Amino acid sequence: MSEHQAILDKVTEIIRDLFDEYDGPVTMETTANDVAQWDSLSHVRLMVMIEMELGVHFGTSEMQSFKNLGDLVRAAAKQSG
Amino acid sequence: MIFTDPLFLFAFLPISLIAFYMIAYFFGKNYALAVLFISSVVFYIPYGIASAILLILALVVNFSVAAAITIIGDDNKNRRKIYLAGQAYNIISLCYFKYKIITLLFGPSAGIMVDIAGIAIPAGISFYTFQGAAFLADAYAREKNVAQFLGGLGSTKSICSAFGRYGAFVSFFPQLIIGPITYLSEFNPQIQSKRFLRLNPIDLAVGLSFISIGMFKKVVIADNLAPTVDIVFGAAHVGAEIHPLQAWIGALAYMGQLYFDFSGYSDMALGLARMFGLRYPINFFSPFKANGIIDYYRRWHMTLTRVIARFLYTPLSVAGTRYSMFNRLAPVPAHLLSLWLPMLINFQIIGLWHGALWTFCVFGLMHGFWYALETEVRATKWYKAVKKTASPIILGFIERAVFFLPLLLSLAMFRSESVSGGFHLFSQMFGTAIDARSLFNMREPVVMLTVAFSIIYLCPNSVEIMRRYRPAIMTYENKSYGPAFLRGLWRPGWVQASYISILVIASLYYVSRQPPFLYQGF
Repeated sequence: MSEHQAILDKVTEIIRDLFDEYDGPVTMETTANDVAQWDSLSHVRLMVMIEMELGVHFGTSEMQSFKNLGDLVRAAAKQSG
Repeated sequence: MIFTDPLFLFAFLPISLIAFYMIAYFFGKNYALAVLFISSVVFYIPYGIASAILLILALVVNFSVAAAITIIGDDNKNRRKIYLAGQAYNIISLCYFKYKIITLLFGPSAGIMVDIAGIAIPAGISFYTFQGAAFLADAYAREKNVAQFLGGLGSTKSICSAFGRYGAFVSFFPQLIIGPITYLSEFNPQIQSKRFLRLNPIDLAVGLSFISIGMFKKVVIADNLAPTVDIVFGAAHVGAEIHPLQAWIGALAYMGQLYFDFSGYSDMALGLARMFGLRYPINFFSPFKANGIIDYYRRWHMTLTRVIARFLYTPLSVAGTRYSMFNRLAPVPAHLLSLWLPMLINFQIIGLWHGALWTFCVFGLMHGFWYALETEVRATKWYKAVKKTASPIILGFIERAVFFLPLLLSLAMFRSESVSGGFHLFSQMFGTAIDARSLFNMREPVVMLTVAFSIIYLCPNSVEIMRRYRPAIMTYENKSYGPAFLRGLWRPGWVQASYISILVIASLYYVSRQPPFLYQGF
């Protein structure tokens, strides 16, 4: 769980940087619908930034399959773990 | 066969429906799905024996590959090779049979598109190929529906019944020729449901209503706009002088024709599938009510948009973004690689998907630039500030007004018989040839256009009218527009039955003319 939290913290930092107009909470339940700036284009950017930061690699269909940040964090944890 | 053919409506459809429900009752699901598969092949045979053989071959190849990569474990290196070989078959057969004429690279006979063997492009090849390719990708990704759908493949009997199910999924006649391109995750849960195979009167009522509405759109509205379209675009092709008013009527008539043709087909497809108790993804949701090109592609041919976005745009955009971020490119080249280039390629493919013609190329370029430009504008601080402060109604009105003209011109180019004919039409629309000889009597086309565009902009679409009965699977969430008092809800009753009867009678009056659906050629 703490590993998930550590990943979420890093992801939160990236989200704050990329979606600078968003100041709501970032949790495992956060989805693209919660963040106005999070469109399909910035989604790809976000995924690549997370890949670079965490040293993981997502497939393109995997990127589209994440339903919320929780899915993403778990997928990243699986790779780094 | 085409959906508006009386032979289809009054012989093929009732026979296959009765066979389906009777076999389902006596022999169960696998045999009922086999009936759907066999009747779909019968439906397809009038398009040519060679085409039917190609369809069966595509089914056999894709099914075998899907079965193999489902059985083989992830650690087997051959799994990826087999998958890629299957996708290579799809791509090569599509390119060969649909675009082999590309060897003559957009030569003068490109419009005829006849292959070396002398047969026309196999009907529906791009649709069933895309559906098969998406299925293979799901199988490769081990999407949970695939294993459940294929079931155990341990005996000849189980392989045969799995192939019957697969054949029904890919070739089911309501979606075989013109889509919607369906994912297994949409089809499989329905056939696993206990309600499947049970004859439900409401399915027949909703299905027949959709078929009636769709047929009316096609044979009464679209086909009655066609003669005006043919005259104006024919005149533009030969470079004749056209009165600006008549040029505008011609371009608008094509907009209406294409809309009601495809919308009518989509309604009929939903209705036909529903009669067999199946819901299909929605393909068409009031696209001309869109507030821009981005919104438009979430409403127009939605199942093609999502399949191209999944297999083409997103991988290209991810590759472009990765490259530009790893190499720390400056913002402009980075944007070119992650947005503009993938977008232009995406729309060029969408354009050429309709056929190997220069007009489709220009259409693809227009929409690619437009989509990328609109994405950029919507991302600017200026637009976001405007959006926050402006009234949504006024902003929506302005956006739709800005959207209309480029859409009209791009669709006119799409229809034109040559690029020069398209540009000539534009010049006549904005020209001064007020002394040009009149090409047609304007009274009837103007009445038809008024009716058509009133329906387009004021009325709810058929899925909205039928929403009580969940007529379709939503591919994208779309806002509903139009006056609230016109948003009636359909339910079985005498009043609704009378409306539907009027549509049917009007359609049958025109049905003898039988022009094919426009999308059949794509």
